[in-house]
Amino acid sequence: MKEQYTYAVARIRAREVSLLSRQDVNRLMACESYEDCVNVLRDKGWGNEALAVESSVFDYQLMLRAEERKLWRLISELVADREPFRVILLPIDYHNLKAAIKGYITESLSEDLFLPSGTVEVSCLSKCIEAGSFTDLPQKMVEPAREAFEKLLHTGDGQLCDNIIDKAMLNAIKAEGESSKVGLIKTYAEFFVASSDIKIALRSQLMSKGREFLSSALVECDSLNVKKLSEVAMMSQADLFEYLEFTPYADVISFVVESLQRFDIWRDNKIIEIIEAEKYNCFSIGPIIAYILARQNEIKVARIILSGKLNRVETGLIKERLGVMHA
Amino acid sequence: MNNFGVVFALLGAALASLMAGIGSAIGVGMAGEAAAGVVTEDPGKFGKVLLLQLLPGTQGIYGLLVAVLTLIQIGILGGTSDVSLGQGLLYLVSCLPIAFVGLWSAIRQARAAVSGISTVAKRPEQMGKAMIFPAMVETYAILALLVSVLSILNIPKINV
Repeated sequence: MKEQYTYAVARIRAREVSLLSRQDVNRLMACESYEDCVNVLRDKGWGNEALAVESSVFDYQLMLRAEERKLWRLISELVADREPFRVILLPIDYHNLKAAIKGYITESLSEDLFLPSGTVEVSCLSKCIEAGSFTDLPQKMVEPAREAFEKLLHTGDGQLCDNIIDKAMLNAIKAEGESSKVGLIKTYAEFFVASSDIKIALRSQLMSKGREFLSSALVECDSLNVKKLSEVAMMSQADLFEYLEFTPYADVISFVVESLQRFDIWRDNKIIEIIEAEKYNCFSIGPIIAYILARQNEIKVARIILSGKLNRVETGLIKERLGVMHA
Repeated sequence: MNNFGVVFALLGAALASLMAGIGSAIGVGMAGEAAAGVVTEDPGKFGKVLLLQLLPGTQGIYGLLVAVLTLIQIGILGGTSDVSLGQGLLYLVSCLPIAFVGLWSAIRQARAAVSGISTVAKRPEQMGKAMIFPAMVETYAILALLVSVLSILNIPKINV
């Protein structure tokens, strides 16, 4: 019998009420100062008591980290097994792997480099890298970790190290999607890989990278012809856009035609679009995954607003960087 | 061999109470899980979600009603029972509507109730509408109950 998550989904539904809505975002945007913004978020229950008295100049990163921790604490209360969430956690694991390798080689290893809540313990990553033995890592990580470590050690090329690990991450996400029986995980994994491929193609064009870079970075997926994408990425931007026009991702063009920075807004909006259908599902793991993605999206939105307000960035400019909300 | 009529009639009564009861137990349990989830986050919604949780419980009562009615009709509660094989089979067939519809409708109603509980969790002001959707499923359980009751009450008039 298919596993049902009736209790967990009901709790998530009750929690969804407190997600930031478009009105909340507008309220944050309308705040005169950074401190007002922080207070609005505190009123919504963000952060915790300990953070409030920690320092007079409030560090919003602490608040956002506390929110991320709260999210994963709730999820582990609801679902003991983290396996269904691997597709979301893999980018954290691979980010931490990158941070551990680079930090060790450049002798700048610090706690701040790592993201919380990954499936691989940071201590395990550090231990493996210090010992030069990667066998304790998850199977899919062993080879890319070894390769990235050796390449960085011998060439000092950080970008090459990033490419190896990023490609391994995309392959792991793709495999996760293929092996999953949950529709949302399949769709999300496919979109994640395809959108990453598009971003790689756009960036390679902008930085005039060659065929070698593209073939070392792009990962096969069902919704894009990666060979064709690689070819058009070597040509002009118009050729690339012409190809994208006939893919399911044609709407990316209107975003990136202005600036590549808007790519992330498109990507976030699409993710919100993907999870939208889970609002009407009451039994499967889908709504829980959707909630995690929605929560991560609102944390990202809060980060953009808070950093903008802290650095006195014009409201219009902050607004341009914000996507749609799930609530 | 002479008592086979009673056996079939009892089988019908047992099926009515068993299947409808199982359906209700599954349904109330499923809705209860959802209700507990909402109450964990917002205890103030207890009253609202409790009403929705109870909806799939009615099929079990209908099953019990049909079973008791059958037992009364065949005289088993009085200690003596004289039911022909034909009548026994008729009692069995009469119990089947509430047995099957009770089982299936309770489970489907529970799914609708769980969705209603989700609606109440996000929009408590929509409680009335959230109640109507699972209540619609009740119609078919009531129809099956009617068919079963009317059949059982009229079997003694049939000479088989």
